[in-house]
Amino acid sequence: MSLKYGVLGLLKVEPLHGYEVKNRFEAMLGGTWEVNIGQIYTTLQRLERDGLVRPVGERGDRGKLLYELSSEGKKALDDWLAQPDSGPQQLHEDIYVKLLLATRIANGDLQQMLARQKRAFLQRLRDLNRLEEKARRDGRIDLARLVRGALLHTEADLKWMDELASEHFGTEGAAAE
Amino acid sequence: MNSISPNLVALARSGLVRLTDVTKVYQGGITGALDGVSITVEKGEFTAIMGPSGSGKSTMLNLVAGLDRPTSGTIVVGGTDLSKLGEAGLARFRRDHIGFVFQFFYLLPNLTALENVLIPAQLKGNMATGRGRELLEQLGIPDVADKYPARLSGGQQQRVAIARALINNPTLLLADEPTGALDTHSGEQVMELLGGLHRGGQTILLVTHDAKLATRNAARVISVMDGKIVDDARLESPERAPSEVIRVRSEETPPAGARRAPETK
Amino acid sequence: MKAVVVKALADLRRRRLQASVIFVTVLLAVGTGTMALTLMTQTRDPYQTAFEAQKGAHLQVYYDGGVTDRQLLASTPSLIGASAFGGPYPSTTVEFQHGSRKFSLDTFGRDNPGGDVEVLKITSGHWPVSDGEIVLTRSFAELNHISVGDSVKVVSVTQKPVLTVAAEVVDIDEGSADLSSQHTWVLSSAIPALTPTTPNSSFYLMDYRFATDPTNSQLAGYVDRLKASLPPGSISGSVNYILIRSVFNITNQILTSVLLAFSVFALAATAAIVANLVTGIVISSYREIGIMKAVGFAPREVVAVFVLQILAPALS
Repeated sequence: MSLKYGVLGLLKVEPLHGYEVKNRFEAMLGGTWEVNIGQIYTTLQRLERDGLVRPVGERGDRGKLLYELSSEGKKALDDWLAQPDSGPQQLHEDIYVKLLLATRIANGDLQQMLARQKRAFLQRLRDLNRLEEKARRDGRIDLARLVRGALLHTEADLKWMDELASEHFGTEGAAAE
Repeated sequence: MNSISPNLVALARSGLVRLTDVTKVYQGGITGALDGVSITVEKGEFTAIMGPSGSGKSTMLNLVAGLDRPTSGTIVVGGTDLSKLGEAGLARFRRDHIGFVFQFFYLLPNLTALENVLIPAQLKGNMATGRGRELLEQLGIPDVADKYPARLSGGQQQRVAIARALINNPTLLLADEPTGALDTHSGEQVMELLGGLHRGGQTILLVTHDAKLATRNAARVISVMDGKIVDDARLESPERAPSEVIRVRSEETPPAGARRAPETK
Repeated sequence: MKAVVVKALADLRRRRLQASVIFVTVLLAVGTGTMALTLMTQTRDPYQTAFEAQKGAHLQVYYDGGVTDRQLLASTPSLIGASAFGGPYPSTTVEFQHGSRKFSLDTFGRDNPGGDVEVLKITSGHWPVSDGEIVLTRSFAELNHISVGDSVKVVSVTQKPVLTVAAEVVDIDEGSADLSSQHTWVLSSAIPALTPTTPNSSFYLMDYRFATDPTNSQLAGYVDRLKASLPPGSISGSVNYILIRSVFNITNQILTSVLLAFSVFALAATAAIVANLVTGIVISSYREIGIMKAVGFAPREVVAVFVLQILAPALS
């Protein structure tokens, strides 16, 4: 969904070709979201169908077409930006399901699983730290900010592991503490 | 993910700091006790010790600094068995080999910043005024030399404390929650300084509960819980492409109209 | 130990108030201590101290002037083995008037205040140079508001001569200012004119002193020996130092114990204040001690910092 609004947002700055949209989108996300050109064209066509963007001028050399935002498009973008992200919390990590399943299956032997996951989170923190460092060094403040969010998120995950480990999570299936 | 056995590495090297089966019992059951801790820290390592409060991580640091003695077990730092030293010997050991940075800075309030920095050197009989000023300069606070600690910000005080810890070129720099009393920005600056010292070859043992800051410099994270070491993770530090580290999802989410409304409806 | 000095001086610099309180308190303590010590030595046995200083008489014997004479009395010291003696001093009881008040005191004829026994300490005035002068004790003079230069009128003899007070003295026997143990002195040549013509009004006083302090029974023995060797009725009375001392001490012990109690109290209070300040400094520096240890102060260097801090104001 955010690809659609990402395209709208980029077109609000200035009219762009499909390739330019792809490049700018990827640059904005610092390589953390790779899209193929087909996705971009599909998105642009849908947006044109819904009247949110429109082509500017004639199809140029090698079939390049410049797109710009319509007034409906501007309105749709503004509405989206104004709306806070209020949907349900999205958890994409396997570990959430693994832990839930493991309580039922492993019966008390979760400490090892937690420790392994903790290490993975620590390694992720280290990687994120290095990425943030590099982004700042390269002057890519957008990316650095994104990484900062990810760092805090991973820190929260790590704290969750610690909490689970300290309450001897998993032993309740075997015997009361 | 990463499972290099620390024991194998330890066997291959001598170890600058070696704790062997260290136990510390506090009378009255005060938290912070240690229960059979064994670790080896190599020269040049930046090691973070993490754990909840009362887990014993600060106790470990105090024992390595010779500020406290273990109930049992041995602690060897730079080839010196601390149990063989008397109180005066420990004091000499601390000022010759240990630099200690605390959470609450612990500068002597009646001394100026520069006097604070120079104290450990003067205890050794060195004047070291030049080196003291140099360190303050290096840590970015040359203009606070003649101010009293009460007039300095937390970040400045901690940097003075770091300069004090470094004045005698310590074998080992110990830092106990050095960013714990600082705002995020000052904390990051202090951690940056520690990182710079490490890149310059300084062995550092850091106690913290901020995993973000710990993993920034430390390639080794030791987790302590209830006085025991529960994990000793050696982290990798390769160059990774952004997409290998972080990925913003492109999955379609339900259209706005179909989103679940707030719980009241 | 540059670091120790730097630290101690820095603390002093920032703790001027405490330092000056210590300074003043130590000063007071030293003062109080000195005072208390002086008081204690002075009051341990004030009579004994004065007795030694003024060569007090162990034994004083009054002889009847009608039965004995100077020559006979001059032989008495060797009779009882006295190491020193004073007298014989011709003596009589003189009644005199100062203003509207009348007094009756034993008066001794004595030509100088010094000698080997019973030294009189002149506190003001001079020893009489003529028969018209009289000497009083300071305590008596002060109690009755008589000063050097005042005149007193003798009423016990018909001529009623007027005497001028020449001096005030401290007499070892003047236990208190009441009349019983008070004496007056004139030149010995003045005594005949002051002696009433009635019988039993003329005496001689002999002061005896022995090499070592005699006991009560030894003193009684001396008196018995004198009685036995002299004509009957020679001795009209005797006073020994043990009696005087006990009378004196009863009154003085009360004063002494009050003084002592106060000095001990003052000393204790001073000690408590200093102790309180010192522990205060140490306790308030509890964290600093930890810091000092952490940066490499040896235990004795930590102690040195505090000792220096406390001693510096005390010594300055």
